[in-house]
Amino acid sequence: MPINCKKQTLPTIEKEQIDLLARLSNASGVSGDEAEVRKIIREEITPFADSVETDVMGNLIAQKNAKGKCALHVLIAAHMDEVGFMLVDKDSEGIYRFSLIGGIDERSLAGKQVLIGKDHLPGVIGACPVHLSTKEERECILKLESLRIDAGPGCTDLQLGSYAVFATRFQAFGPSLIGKALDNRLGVATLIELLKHCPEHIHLTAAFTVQEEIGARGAAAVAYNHKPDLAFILDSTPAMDQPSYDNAENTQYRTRLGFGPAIYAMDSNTLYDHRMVEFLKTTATENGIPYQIRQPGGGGTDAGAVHLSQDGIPTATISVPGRYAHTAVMIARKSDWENTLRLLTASLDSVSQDIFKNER
Amino acid sequence: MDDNSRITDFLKELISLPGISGYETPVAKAIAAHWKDLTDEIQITNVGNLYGIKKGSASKNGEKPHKIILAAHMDGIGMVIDRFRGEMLHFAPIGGFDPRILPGQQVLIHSGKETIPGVIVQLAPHLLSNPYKDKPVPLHELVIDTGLEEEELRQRVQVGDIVSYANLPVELPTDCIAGHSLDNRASVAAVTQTLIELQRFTHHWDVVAVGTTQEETTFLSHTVVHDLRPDLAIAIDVTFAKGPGVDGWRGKPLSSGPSIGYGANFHPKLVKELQSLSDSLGIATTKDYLPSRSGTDAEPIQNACGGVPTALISIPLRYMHTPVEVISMKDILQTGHLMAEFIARLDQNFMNKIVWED
Repeated sequence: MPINCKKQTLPTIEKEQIDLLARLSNASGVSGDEAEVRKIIREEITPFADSVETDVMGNLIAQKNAKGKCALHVLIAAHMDEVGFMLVDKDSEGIYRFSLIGGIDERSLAGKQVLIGKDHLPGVIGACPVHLSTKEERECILKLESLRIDAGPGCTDLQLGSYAVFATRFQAFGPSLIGKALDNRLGVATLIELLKHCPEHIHLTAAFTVQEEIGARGAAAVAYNHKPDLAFILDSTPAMDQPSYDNAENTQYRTRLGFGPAIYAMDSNTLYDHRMVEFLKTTATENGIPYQIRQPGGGGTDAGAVHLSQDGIPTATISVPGRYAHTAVMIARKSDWENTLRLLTASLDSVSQDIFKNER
Repeated sequence: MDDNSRITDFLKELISLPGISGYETPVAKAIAAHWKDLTDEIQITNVGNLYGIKKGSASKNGEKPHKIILAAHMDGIGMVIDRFRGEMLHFAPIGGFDPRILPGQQVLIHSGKETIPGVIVQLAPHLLSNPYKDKPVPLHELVIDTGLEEEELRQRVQVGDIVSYANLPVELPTDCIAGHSLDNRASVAAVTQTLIELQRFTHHWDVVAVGTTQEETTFLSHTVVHDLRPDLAIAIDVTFAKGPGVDGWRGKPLSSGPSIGYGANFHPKLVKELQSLSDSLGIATTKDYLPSRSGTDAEPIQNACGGVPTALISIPLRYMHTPVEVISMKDILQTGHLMAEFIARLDQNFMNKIVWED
């Protein structure tokens, strides 16, 4: 992408990008076990980066040097980990107790296929037959303690400590993208595109971070080590935009599908630098890109760790909205992803220290 | 191809197809295609029951034949679209299942012209009539999201469209299959194994392999008896396998062989014959104690048209009525084998053994 790109040259999401998202979504990468995702990303970005390294935490860091001197140092971070499971005890042949990694609603577990370990061995999370449970029992949640991963009675080669994920396979359908771990493989796929077409006037540190789902642990190390001038965090945020049961106006949607990238004003961990927020809004408006402000409230991103690092780093978060995060199947819109990529592309083209000429 | 891989492939095909109660045609067609070369005649009745008729030597010699039916229901549980809510679809159940397994489940909506993927979801607490904190969200508040926007959704989906599970089968070590509708496609596979083995035997009796419909809902297999007037009937279904959620006397271990039903629903002499044959052949079996009613096709069949001596052979299955039911291929093959051996021994005097001891 040339430095002075105008809105007519902003990128689009094509089959190539969707195919990459499919590979990323289908890969297993639970917090603490991101290697499979990291490998895909490394292969994709190596031809486009000046350096690629995996740091102590497991973050994958790519550097793209600026052409001139005294360039602005921009960090863009997207977490590559997902929520999932770990096998923690063996009950009997092929039957394992498991723990949850990241925030997963117990009510989304029963009756699902899973993939275990690096070899993606199949397993299932079953449930008591409806014929044998009472009405009273069915009014209680199927608790994690009562659920097991069943890998088949002949399964003898599984190690305790193996990670597992939902077995969902990605599909693009109509206007939507459907799959597991779109939180945050959408952000990962966006960052890969940005790195491939990075403008020459900035120094870019592209960080594919680990362990976001258990507390933004990877991003903290990245910000500390690389000391950027400013940071953009790419993530996925819940859209709770469906109609209410009584058709009352749903005013607590957080974000809405089809309304474009979600810019954060405030979440549980971060009061975003409003100069960054204004810059993003202005850039979107000037380029005719739709955007939405995520309704302030709970949740957090890698920004929580990054903006408090060093002597403070101005940070923004931009998310692709998605429904049903942290379950077996998420739904997001291709148009929101494309507009997120376009907003970030336009922002990188025009970003400069001028953002900070006014006091915060 | 050996029998094991032939039946495994067939079963995987069957559980990749929809065949919801009352809408069994997709799976019935696949079964008919497979039974065609194994039987003399295929028939489909007004209510969709599938007959694979294999004539015995008596029939072929012009004698009046005896007839045994092997009845396995083809239908599975599913859902039906019952109303729209913006981009969301509400649904009603077809057959009995525990709604707690539904959130996050991928489904297919069969709209007549096309198949539309969707996922069953529980919405955020503020969108429900009650936050259901630490409670399961009840079935009538769960919805299907297709990813389509409302206008397009209304063009492509109609109230009344049938919904089936979308997940494809997986093989688990050593010889297990996991998937939806193994209740009762596993039994269809067992009956198919019987037909395969009967190609190698001479049998005296006529045999009718029956794929019944609507077992999960209306229990209409009495119509089969009305049609065929069998001398004997064996219903084949699944029973609870031991595993997470099932222990105690109701559960049979996976791979423990066919489970023979004992109780009022079954003719004790027929049961005794099946049991003593399997014992003498060294076929491992378990006893499935079903006091009072069995909840299987054995029930309407036994009670139809003045009564039919009926037995039930069940195949152990984990996680019944979830989309991740698990079954052992060994149990399926042994069930098919036992029935073939039994049929091969049926002669013109066999019915003399099916009498009450008074």
